[in-house]
Amino acid sequence: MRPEPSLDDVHRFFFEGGSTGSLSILRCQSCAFWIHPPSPACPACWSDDVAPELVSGRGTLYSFIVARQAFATAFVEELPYVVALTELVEQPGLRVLTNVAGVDPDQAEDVLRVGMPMEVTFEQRGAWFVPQFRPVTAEVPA
Amino acid sequence: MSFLARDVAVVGVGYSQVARAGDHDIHQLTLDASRRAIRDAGLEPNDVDAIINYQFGGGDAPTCATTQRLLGIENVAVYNDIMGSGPSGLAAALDATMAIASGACETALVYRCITRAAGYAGAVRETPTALGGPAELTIPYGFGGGLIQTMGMRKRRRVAVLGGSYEDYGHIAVTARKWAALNERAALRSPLTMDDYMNSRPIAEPLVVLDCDYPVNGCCAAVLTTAERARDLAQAPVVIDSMAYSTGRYSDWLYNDDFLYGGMIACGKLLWERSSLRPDDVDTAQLYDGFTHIAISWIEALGLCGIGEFHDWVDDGRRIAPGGSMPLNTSGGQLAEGRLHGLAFLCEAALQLQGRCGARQVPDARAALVANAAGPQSGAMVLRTA
Repeated sequence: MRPEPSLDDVHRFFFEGGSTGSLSILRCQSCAFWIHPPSPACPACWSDDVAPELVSGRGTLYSFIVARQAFATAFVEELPYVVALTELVEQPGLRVLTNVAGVDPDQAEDVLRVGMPMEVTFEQRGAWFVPQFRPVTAEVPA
Repeated sequence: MSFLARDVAVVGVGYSQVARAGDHDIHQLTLDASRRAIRDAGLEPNDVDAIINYQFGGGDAPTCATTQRLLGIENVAVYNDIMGSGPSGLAAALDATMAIASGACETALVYRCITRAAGYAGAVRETPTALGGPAELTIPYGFGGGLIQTMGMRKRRRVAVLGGSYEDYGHIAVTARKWAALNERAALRSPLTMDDYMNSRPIAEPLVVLDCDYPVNGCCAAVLTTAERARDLAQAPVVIDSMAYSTGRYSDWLYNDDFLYGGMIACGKLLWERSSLRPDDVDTAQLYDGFTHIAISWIEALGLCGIGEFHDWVDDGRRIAPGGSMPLNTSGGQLAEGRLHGLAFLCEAALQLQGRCGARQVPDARAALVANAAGPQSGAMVLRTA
């Protein structure tokens, strides 16, 4: 069983947005800088006025690995699985950790390419919606 | 005269037994390495007035206070247990250099003691039930194993955007064993072929087990003092010509600005700006190889070749092997000598510049590069003979 996120207030918005099918990222309300992972203040302008805002959910595959060894008990039965970084289109360097949905991990080496377009999807775990990314062109199994 | 207010030299090195199995007593390991380093310098315990070490803080190494007691040193003027943040074991020597140069102390003992258990990041651990903090964004995705998965992602991205091949990484691993065969202290001395490397067990594809260093129980230690005092001691002084730290912007292993290099390029730039030497002057490089990706990155970031040029520069491994023009990690590094976590690169560089490396001695070595850790925890030194 993949673990659910906990009820940490700082990250709650990230795992709730999927209930309406949308991804939010923290953004500085003063200088418009996107901030991920979340921070209590903007590192670019030091404004304390930061709030989650909707993003397009589009990005590119920054890099990925196919996990053949697990480091937490919850993931031993999940092997193999993909761990990736998606760089969102909203800002250079704005990276989100993800698994890759809709791709057989054993086919990942052939199907996935660094730089390919990705889009957000959501995996429901308990009450939470874990943001996941999939290739824009991938066939999504029913 | 270097850029430091007072010149500083490495004057003694010492190792405990380095072994996969064997003595796990961190006190014995640290005592052995420390006594050997102090004696190597021709000093007495009470000549030491500073003790600095780097550790994870989980029982992998004794604290400075414990080590002081073990050695019976009357008083220390500078001490610091550097806990898990910084350029691994070299952090202790970098701090000692600054403390000596500033006049806060005269003679420092630095050490890195590490156990096989503490150095092993591959274990399956119980999944945390109460997450919180940045782990909220990683644990639900099965991210783990310390830096293992981030290094797999770097390996893939490097080849995708800079070119080269996964065999480039293999040259680091294969060459480490060639050097280790010449080092009696090394834990892994059997030869390795490129096929062995390419077919080794995948951990976080494309990262394979032979991209990772080899956990051991062991301690290495060094003694540093002023270059002036060093002239009267037992070994030929090895002078710190330059040193630098760097982190890069948004220092982190996943979200840092420069994903492939982090602070390493800025570290190299600072290092050479402060140095009396140039990359062309370097006779041997001792560069952190906790993962093969890190050694390749340092070679480029320190200007031994250009960014993305490693594939051609390494010349199918000949460049960095015994007899090559840039002997790399002549002890076998952490991939083969064992994971002494950084400080052993400084010790090996000192031994090379003192001409004490026997079968693996680089002829007429006068200048060496040392670099530790990577990305947000970068640190490096240029060392030279006096």
